[in-house]
Amino acid sequence: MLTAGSKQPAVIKLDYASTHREIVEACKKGDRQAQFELYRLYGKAMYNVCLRMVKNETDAEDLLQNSFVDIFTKLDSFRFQSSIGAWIKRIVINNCINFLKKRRLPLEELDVERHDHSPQPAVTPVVIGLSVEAVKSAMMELPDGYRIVFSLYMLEGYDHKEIGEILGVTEATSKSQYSRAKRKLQEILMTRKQSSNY
Amino acid sequence: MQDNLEQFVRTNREAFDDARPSLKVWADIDRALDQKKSRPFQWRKILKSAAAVLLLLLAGGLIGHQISRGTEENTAAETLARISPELAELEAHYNQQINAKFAKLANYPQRETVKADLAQIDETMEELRNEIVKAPAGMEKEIVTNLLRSYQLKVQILERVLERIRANEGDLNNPTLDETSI
Repeated sequence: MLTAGSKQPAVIKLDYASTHREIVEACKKGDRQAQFELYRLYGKAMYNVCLRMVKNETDAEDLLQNSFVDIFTKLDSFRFQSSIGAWIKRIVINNCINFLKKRRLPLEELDVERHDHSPQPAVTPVVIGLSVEAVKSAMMELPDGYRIVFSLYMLEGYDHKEIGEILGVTEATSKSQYSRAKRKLQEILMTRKQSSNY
Repeated sequence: MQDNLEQFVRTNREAFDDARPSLKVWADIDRALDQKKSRPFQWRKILKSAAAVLLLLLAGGLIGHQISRGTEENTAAETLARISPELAELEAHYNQQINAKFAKLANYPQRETVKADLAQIDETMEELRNEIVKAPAGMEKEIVTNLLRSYQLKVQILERVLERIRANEGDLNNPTLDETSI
């Protein structure tokens, strides 16, 4: 999958952009087997993206389904200027954001002014005994806006400028939102750790 | 500066993608894409082309059979499970849909025609299954795809017939069900 801040030389990047080129070309012609192949390659990862965005399995599956129908319908406009994976992921994420907006789960936490003016702790807390399961479930306790910014930055590999574009906020908002989200996540994890010690 | 939470997430990034969507998702995408095409529905033509594909596969299979006789101990079921582990689950999903839709036809005269057509597809599918053990490498996936398409074809036939019945029943001027030649 995609990783943030690629430092690979240009040649490899170029090669990367043409990954699965044959499959994509066949998909453009409406070849169902190739479409299934593309779904197999990216469906699972994109399902996890949806789950992190909307939290609920049924909604995540609906979004995955609609996104892939969109992907195959819009594929003609894909010109290999980015990797197919990045292109797919952007469609999925946009659909998730639109879904959240429609459900009027406003991303109000993104309105920085209204939120949380508690001072930053002087020392970054070190959470001991981390596990993937613990982090995942703690993420689900975060408010929507926090969870989304945290996911986009830490797991989907976007930088703050890109997150700003996706969410329609400034880069600075994304940054401050991210650090708040991370702090909140650390708090949740540490509270749990403490309560599980008793 | 990375703290230990960030470090942990980056190191374990892959493990965060452990959830799997149900197989229903692909089946629904597949159907939605079919509907988008919105071509006139001509399943007899599809049947014919399926038969042509089958003939080609049989020919290809026979050639492959001559070339390599290595893997014949594998049963068709084992081979299918190896090539496409999700096939069994998809088959169950389709069969359930097909049975439910066929049950709705119980009191209609179209039942027999549809039954015959489904049986014909079953025959084709049976041959596809038997072919899989002899298929040359590379052809196997195609056979699986054809199997899945056969299931989709069955669902489409049933949906089409049920749709017609519903349309006819809605028409009060024409209470008798007309001969359905789809």
